Amino acid sequence: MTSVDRTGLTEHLARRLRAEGASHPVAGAVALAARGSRQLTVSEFSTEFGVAVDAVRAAEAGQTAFAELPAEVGAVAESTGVDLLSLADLEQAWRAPSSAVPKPQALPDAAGRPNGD
Amino acid sequence: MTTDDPLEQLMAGMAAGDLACLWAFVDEYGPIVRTVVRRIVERTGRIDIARNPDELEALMLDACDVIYGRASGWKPGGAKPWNWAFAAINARVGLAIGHRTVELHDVGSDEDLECEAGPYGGAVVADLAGDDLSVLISRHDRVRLLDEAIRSVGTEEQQDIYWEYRLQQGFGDPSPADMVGRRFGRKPATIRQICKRHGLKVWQLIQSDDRFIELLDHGWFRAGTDRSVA
Repeated sequence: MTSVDRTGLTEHLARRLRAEGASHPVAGAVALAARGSRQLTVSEFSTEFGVAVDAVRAAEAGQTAFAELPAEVGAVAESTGVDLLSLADLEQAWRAPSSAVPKPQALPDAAGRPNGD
Repeated sequence: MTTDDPLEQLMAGMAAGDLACLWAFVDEYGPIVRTVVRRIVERTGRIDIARNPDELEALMLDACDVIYGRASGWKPGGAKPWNWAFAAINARVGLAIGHRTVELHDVGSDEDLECEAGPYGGAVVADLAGDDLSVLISRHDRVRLLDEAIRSVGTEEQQDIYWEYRLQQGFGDPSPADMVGRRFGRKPATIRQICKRHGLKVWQLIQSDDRFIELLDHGWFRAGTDRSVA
């Protein structure tokens, strides 16, 4: 069976974090990929790679910018075959002003007129 | 973690909302989930999607999201998550690509009949009217797999009774237990009991053994009840 595209999988998690309103969804997904690839708990990952638990949690929640991710996190993610350059491009594209998460459109009222603002 | 089983560990992590466990689950079990999804897509007739790796990958990720969302309800030691959540995955795929668009093949068609299954196994079983079971087993991968599953549980007599019952049913016999009972020297009620129990064992096997993953949507066993044995 063909293995899974790990960059695509990480992007999938990034979309999820983005939909949840994370400030740095791609960086968050990379952090999740790093720990997921080793199948470690947060504390195990923290101990093994010498990254503070709070830093791991913040990164995974998408609160840490890509450039500020602990180096160990990026290195672990990259070692799994995740294409960090491509993901960094995605983060950059999402941060461009024109690529904000689309605002849900208001449903029309019973008469079919546009509703809301 | 209280278990050494990697799948159970990942399911427990996902139940707790750990997205790193979702990443690991997809990485480890995504290919199996993809097989399940491909089968569902094929049954809708959207072969174009089934053969498109990108579309299939996206649907596989959706299916894994379904499992993630339901992980807290999964019981360790039970059916594999992709089997356990099959109905929900099926619904999600249906939502994404639409519902079945292909009609059942006509009985006697020259086309490959193994791609559709109705309430009694569909066209393949209907084809039995004009063919011998052993020929069908050699001709259709799905029937071969079905035979393997049926022959993997119970006694040889139970296996024969089950097949015979299903064949009679496929022929349209309104009381298959009567005919099979006469052939095997058993009462019709006993035949029905044997078939019900044997069908349940086969279903449990299909759910627990990835070799039979393609039979998950088979009309005889789907929904976990051998509903057409009555």
